[in-house]
This record gives sequence, structure tokens and C-alpha cells, in this order.
Amino acid sequence: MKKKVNIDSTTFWFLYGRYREYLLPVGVIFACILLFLFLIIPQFQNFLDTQEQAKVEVNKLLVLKSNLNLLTNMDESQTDYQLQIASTTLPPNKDFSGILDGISVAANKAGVFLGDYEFQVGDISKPSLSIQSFPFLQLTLTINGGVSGVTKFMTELYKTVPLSEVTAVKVTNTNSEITVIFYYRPFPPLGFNNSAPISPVSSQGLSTISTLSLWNNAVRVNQPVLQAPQASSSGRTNPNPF
Amino acid sequence: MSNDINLVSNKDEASLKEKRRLKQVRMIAVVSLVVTALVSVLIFIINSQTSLSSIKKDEDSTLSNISYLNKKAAKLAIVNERLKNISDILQKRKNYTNAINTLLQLMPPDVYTATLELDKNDVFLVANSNSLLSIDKFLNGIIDLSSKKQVIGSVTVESLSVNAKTGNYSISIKSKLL
Repeated sequence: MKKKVNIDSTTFWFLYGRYREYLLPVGVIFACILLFLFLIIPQFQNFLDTQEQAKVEVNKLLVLKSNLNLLTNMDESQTDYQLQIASTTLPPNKDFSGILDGISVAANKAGVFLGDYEFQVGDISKPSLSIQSFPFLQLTLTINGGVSGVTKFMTELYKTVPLSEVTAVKVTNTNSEITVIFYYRPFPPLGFNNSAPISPVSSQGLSTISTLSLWNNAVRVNQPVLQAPQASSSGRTNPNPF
Repeated sequence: MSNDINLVSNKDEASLKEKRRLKQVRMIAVVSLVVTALVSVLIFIINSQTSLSSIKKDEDSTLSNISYLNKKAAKLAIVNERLKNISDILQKRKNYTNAINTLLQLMPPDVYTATLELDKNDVFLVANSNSLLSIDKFLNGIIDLSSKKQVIGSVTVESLSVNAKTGNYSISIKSKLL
């Protein structure tokens, strides 16, 4: 059970007189402790937070400066050329004219004659970007040539843009038939994250560009570097999205 | 003489002790005051020097400069995206030329291809010859290739026939394409 402590005024003044000289230093110590707890420690915490934030912002600034430096020093004509090569190799939509040009060039180089051929266009709706595999156009080609003609044609076709893949080969005595798919892929939506570092074309990418530029039909004649869209997306390819 | 009896008052000693304690408390108060003041000033100076506004200002200025180069950045992003996709396709696309050439190299001169069919998984081959020995040599070559797991996997001889009128032997082989 708690007992009430009753201090009367005489006791109070006695104690005050007894410890009067302690009041100021003890008050100062108490005030300092309060200052430490409620002012200095939060300020220090604030300082640490600011330091952390500053570190993040400095890193962001470094990324931005590096991006700016990269973009400023980038040769735009070189990028246009790379974009044209890459977009002609993997067109953003069904590039019928490019495919026909490619087949014709490959046949000429292989020294074979092509019979009738037909596209199997399939779904003409815009392919979804979310799909992992690449959309393609399938084509069955009849070649007036034997095994050597077919292999020569396939070798040339594999060095011709747009990018294709032979999925089936059928060679008989009289004629041969191959099934080829031509890949395409729509341009991705251009969303920028300012704090993300922009990376230049890697050395592997440059090597790929260099290889692709040597392929048949890589840079089509009379095709301007920057071309405005002229026809519907299914009929003509604009390798440059700008 | 007994030491327990102390007739001299110890008031001075108690007062001295009291004074010493007071002095210590005062000293502690002064030290804590000085330390608090110093730390406060130090934190104020450091806080005032670490200014985020200058970094933010620099960031805004850089962002504004970058915004003029957005077209270049977009082109670069698309080039990188295209190149990645192209590399992916180049890595996974199947090259039948090697398989055909390897099979043709196994054929003796008097064996010729009547039918050759390849798709993603299988190879179907019909070879003709007027010499059974050459057919045998070709078949052994195919089996050897299959056992080494080069180009083709398991091999099935679907038929071996002879045309009595022409004397031509015909062999049909089906195999898994590796």
C-alpha cells in the first residue's frame, strides 16, 4: 500500500536551503539531457537521412550525366544506320516487299529458279508484344533444283534480310520445296526511366551489325535513312519508328 | 587509549566533502553544456553544408538537357532491343545445310538421293543405287554418324527394296535430327 509523503513548507524550505546550490547544475544537466534526446539525436538522425538521400541523388545525377554525355557524343547518323540495319533485319511488321526482295536476291545468288510461292499470312491483327516467341510469316517455296541448289539457296537465304528460318525441306528428283518463316516484331513502347542508365551498343551488338551489314539486301537501294510512313503497316515497312 | 572516542567535531570534513561533490556536479553541468553546445553547432554546420537543393538543381538541369536528346535515346533503345532479338533468333534458328551436307558426304558416288525431307525433328531419306555394296556402305556411315550423335540421333530403316526390272536398290531411312 502506497504511503502519502507529506512535505510541509518548513521541510520544503529546509531542503531548498540545503540543496539550493545543486539546483542550477542539476537543472543544466537535465536540460542538456533533454536537448540531447529531443534535439540533437533527431538532428543527427536527420543528418544521416539527408546523407543517405544525398547519396541516392548523387548516384542518380551521375547516371544522368553519364546518359547526357553518351547521348551528346553519340553519332546520330551512325545510330540511324544501325537502326536501319536492325529494323530491316527484324522488321516491325509484315514486310512483304522486303521478303520478296530477299527471296529474289537469295535465288539469284544461289543460281536457282523459284516456282510459284504463296504466303500463309495467318492472323493479320497486330501481334501482342507480350508474347515471348516472335511473330512470323510462313512461306512455302518451290525450287527448280536438286539438293545442291536447295542447300545453296538456304545458305544464301540465311545471309539475307529480313531474318528467316527454314522449318522444313523436301527434296525430290524433280523439284524441291522448302518452308521458310520470316520473323518480325513490333517496336516496343518507348517508356523512359530517367534514372536508368542508357547503355551504348555493346561490342557484340556492333559485331552483329557489322555482320548483318554484309548480308544480302541489308541496306536497300533508295531507302532514305529517315523515312516517313507512306502506306499501311501491313503493306510497307518503315524501318525507322521516328 | 580508545580510538572509538572522538571528541573533535568532523563538521569540516563533511563540509569539505559536500563542497567537493558540489564542485563535481558543477563540473559535470559545465562539461555537458559545452558538449551539447559543440555537438549542436557541429550538426548545424554539417546539416547546412549537406544541401540537397544544389544536387536537385543540377539534376533538373541535366534532365532538361537530356530531354532534347530523347529521340537519340529512343533510337539507341530500339537498336539495342532489335539486336537482342536478332541475336536470340540467330542462336536458336536451325541450319539444315550442315545436316544435308553431312548426309550427302556419306553417300558413295553411285548412291543418289531420291527423296530427302527434313523438319525440326526428323530426317527422312530415300536413297537409290544399283549396288547393294554401296547401299551397305552408306548405311554403315549413317549408323556411325548416329552412334557418334552427330547431326542425327536414332536411325530406323523403314524399307529396303529392289526393283527387279531395273536392278535398283532403294533404302528408306528415318532418323531424329539433333
